[in-house]
Amino acid sequence: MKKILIVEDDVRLRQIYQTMLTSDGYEVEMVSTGQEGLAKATAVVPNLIVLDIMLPGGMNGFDLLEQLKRNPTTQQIPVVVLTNLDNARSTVTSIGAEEYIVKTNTSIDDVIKKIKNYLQDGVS
Amino acid sequence: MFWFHRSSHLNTPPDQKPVLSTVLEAISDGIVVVSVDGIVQMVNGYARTLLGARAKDVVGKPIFGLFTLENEKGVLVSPENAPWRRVLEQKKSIGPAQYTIVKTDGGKTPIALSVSPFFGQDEKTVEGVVIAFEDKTTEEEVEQMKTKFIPFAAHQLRTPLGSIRWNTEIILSGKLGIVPPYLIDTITTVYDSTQQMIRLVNDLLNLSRIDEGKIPNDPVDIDVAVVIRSVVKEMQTLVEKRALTTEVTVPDVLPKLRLDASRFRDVIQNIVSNAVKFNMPGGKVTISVTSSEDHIEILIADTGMGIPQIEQKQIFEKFFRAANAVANQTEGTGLGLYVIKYYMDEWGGSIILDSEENKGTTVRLSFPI
Repeated sequence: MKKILIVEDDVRLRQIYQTMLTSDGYEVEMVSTGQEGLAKATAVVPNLIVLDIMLPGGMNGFDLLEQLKRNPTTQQIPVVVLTNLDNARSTVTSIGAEEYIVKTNTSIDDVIKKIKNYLQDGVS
Repeated sequence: MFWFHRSSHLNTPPDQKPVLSTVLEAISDGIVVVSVDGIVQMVNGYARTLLGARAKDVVGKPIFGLFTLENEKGVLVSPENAPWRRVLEQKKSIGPAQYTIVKTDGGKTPIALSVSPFFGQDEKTVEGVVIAFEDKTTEEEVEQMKTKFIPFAAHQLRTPLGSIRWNTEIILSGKLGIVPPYLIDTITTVYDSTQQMIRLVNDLLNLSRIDEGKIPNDPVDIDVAVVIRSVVKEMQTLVEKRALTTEVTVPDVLPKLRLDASRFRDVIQNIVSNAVKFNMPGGKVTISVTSSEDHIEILIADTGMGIPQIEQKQIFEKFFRAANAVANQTEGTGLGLYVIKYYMDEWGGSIILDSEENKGTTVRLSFPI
């Protein structure tokens, strides 16, 4: 079963991801801070990481993304950045994120489609 | 007041002089009077406070040295270019204009400064100038707070709006169970209103970025057809509600545009949403894309209320709303076209509106490749 790690602090959105992805048969891990995300990513080595940028606890999404792409264990895992910042594309892609999505400008259907795309082509 | 004797035309009766002097001292604007030869005749209390050390013992001395001014761009104003020099030469008032006083200790105070000439008894000979200035520190602080607050508030608003959008989408998709038919209309309204709020937040954010001169420019290759289709899909519930038909024609092969993706989407979304909301019930929205060697052109046409001829010149002004749109109570802020025009200019493109009242509007967007 393919594993997705979701780093998102907003409970309402976590619920949505949970509903949309577990029903499609993915194993979904949820964490809400950068630190937890890093720990979980190295321990579980998921097939995909969905990452928010504005995170509580001192380590934001940019920091976590940098750490993930620097760490040999996690650097191959595709990362989909899902954020409300609409001016961070070049920053996240230059750090190595595979996808950048502005939440309010994208339908949940398109978000899920893009996520699934990486699970078909990505590392299994 | 020691300076009155120099100004022969100011034949104020002697008993009013103390009153005038008190008035000048009491007002909370800086007043400095300078004779035609550049000698300071009077500095009121507020000006002394604002100018600090420089204002001491300055009466009877040249104005040069009393003021160090920076212009709006933060460039020091040389004595030759001082605003009072211009007034003495041109014999015309200027201001209020934005300047910054640089104090002797290096501190700075933003001010609005006006300079007016005063004339001799012949009413032609300039005898000097009155310099009046107002402390704008508070306004400046409010302005700065505003520029910080709007982006902050906009981002905070996006989080719950995103959640409402996605949740209503999930409900309407039937994934949570069949939606009772009598609820579909209500939920669709929630969805449409949320989309409207999202557009509003985007407009506000764009506006504050334009005001600040900090426009995100993150160019990527854009598939125009994908953006148009996704924007049209987002409007679908509103399109159905208003019984409109949409027609999108895009050539199979189309060069990509290299622009900031979010800004491009904002532009398309704004125009399409106008074509939908200003349309007549049962009307049509036609979108067609064509390309030439060096341009991509996007045409968005509606069969709606149109823009009155007389108002067409103003449509790109900030906050402008056409009278018929206001009368019809169609929602809108008057920000969309202002923002679009700004971005199109920024990208070296163009926007042309062709509109006839009660017939419809065609918007022609042209992007250089």
